[in-house]
Amino acid sequence: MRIGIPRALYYYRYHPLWHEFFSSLGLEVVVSDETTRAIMDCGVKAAADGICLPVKVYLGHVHNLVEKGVDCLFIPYIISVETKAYICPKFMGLPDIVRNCINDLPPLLSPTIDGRKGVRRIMKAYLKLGCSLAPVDKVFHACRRAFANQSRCEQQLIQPENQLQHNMGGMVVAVLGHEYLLHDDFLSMGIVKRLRRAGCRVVTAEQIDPNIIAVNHQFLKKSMYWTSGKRILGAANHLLAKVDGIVSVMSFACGTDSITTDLVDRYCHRNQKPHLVISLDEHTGQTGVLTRIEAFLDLLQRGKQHENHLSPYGKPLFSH
Amino acid sequence: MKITCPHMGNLYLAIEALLGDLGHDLIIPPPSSKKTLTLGTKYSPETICLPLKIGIGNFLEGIELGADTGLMVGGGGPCRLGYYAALQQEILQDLGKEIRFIVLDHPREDFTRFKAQVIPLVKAGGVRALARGLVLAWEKIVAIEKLEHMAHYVRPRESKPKETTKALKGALQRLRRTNTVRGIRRLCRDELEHLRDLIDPNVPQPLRVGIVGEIYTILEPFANLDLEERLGYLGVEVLRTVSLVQWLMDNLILSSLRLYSNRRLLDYAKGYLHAAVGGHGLESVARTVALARQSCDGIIHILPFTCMPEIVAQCILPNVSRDYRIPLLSLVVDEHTGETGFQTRLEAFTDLLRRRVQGGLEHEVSACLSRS
Repeated sequence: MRIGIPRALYYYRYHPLWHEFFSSLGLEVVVSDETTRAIMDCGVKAAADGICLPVKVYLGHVHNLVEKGVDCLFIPYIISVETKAYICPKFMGLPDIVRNCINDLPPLLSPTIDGRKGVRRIMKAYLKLGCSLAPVDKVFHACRRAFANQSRCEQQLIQPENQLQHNMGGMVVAVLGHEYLLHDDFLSMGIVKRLRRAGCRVVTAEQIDPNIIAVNHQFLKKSMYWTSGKRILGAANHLLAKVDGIVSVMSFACGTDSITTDLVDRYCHRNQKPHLVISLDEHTGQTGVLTRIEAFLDLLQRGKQHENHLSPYGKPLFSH
Repeated sequence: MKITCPHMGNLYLAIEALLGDLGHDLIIPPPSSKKTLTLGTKYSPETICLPLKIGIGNFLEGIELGADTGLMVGGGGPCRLGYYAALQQEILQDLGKEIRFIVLDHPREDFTRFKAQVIPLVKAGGVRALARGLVLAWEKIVAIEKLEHMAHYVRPRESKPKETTKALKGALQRLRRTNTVRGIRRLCRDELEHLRDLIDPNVPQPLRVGIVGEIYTILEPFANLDLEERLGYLGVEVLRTVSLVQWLMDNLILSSLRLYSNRRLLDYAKGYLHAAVGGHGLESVARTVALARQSCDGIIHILPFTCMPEIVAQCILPNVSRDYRIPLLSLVVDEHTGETGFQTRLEAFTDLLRRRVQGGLEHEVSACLSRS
């Protein structure tokens, strides 16, 4: 059986788990193509107009898979991936959004993944899903391998602390945003790669130990209840003193980012740290974004050469 | 304490009764206006939803009137409302407005914190005053809702134009001054009678349009540009599905007793939406289906721009509308919403409904359904 997984949204976080799980069950995993303008346009056409870019692109990927002719699609209801936290509401009804926006779908595999009351529930959801696809003994084995693979991949991403120190030369820039934006080279226009090519050392939130993030997000007035928001704010607080500048990548009309990016902006402002917000949507032109990144790097460079030199236009750079 | 809090429809009447009994002053910010919104938009994040922007404006205007404490509800997500209070504190702090915040979270989430927040409120009055205040506030909320529902019923049938709105305003002012349970009930009964007297018996059955969507934009007339009133004048009886009484019942009382279940809503929404998505997303879908089954003439779905739960509903509702052959109008509001465009769309929508009903054009489905 060919099982299709759209290369969008949480694929960028859970692909080690999903690949390992389904292939251990003896299924063929088909992933949609890398995002292209055609895929995005297709999604934009299918979606309601007020929805955020990543979900629009997700719909495009689903369409791409339908065209490839898969036997079923894996689109889970993701309520929560950790205790006492949520994912964005759009993930919670994602299969229903897809079902109502795209016609002629193959059957959907939509387990409900709800880890609010413990991570074990997540495991259970996968076991249940597996049991409907393969014999039980195989499912247990597949589940174990999949979760092990996921945590191994997450561990591999984590960078040791000393990598961040200033004396290694070059500028250190933190790039904060949802992984499905940052790692989709089409949507983010390869911001991370471009910064690296420009000689910056780039830190992203998933390179930081989750324990450090958990500690660092406690300074908030109220603990953040979105997993992604938690990671972004925790990372921002941890990195604030360690990096030369912070770049926030958000998508227009993203609900969680509207709050987290604003908070990051406030903390940067209070700590005199340069902060660049790049807000992406389907109309974003590459040139404008590149110009802004270049200008931002120039600003950081000057700040380094002349101590205390922040942009003279510092005030108007912030919206408040 | 001089407490201020954002507006949400006529809710301030109830809050005033509660705080008054506890010995605090409620500084009621001036009714939300263009100025409120301009202030709020200036200091809020760009793409946050409308209720926060208006709320910030309300706070700033309340502080100008001398408030030293802000009262706000909390929440545990997944909708952004849960984080409003924290964000508002940050915004006001950056503006140099040092006011104290009392944030009421759901007691089940963190009881010690809830207690810490409530104690300064209750200290002066004591528990007895709290109980009395809560009962009064509850009675007022119920009365407000009854009066508003009656006004929706009467408005398209009224004998003299604009009389209903005037009568409703008067009734609410009198309700504000009434501070006993018996008095509120009597007043409510009398005012309902009075509103009913405004009906002209010769008016034929008006169109019936259900309103679903996000609770704040439905209850706050400034946010929805007086949607319900406008519809009433266009000869439409408004069926408001969102009810504050129901919401408080479900989310505070029943859920504290672990008795709340959304099984009924899920049953209605079956085939369209199979999970609660926070906010009123599931309600919007379920109630649309319920209204469509009840021979309602049309549905209006109203939501703030970028509202996360309602966007899920917005993706789904066109299919409900197609399956049940019921016209649907989605209204997205934000600080740029213009009055004229809004009015034109409502007029066009009611025209369409009227043509369908009168001309037997059952096959004519609204233009918004033609989305491929």
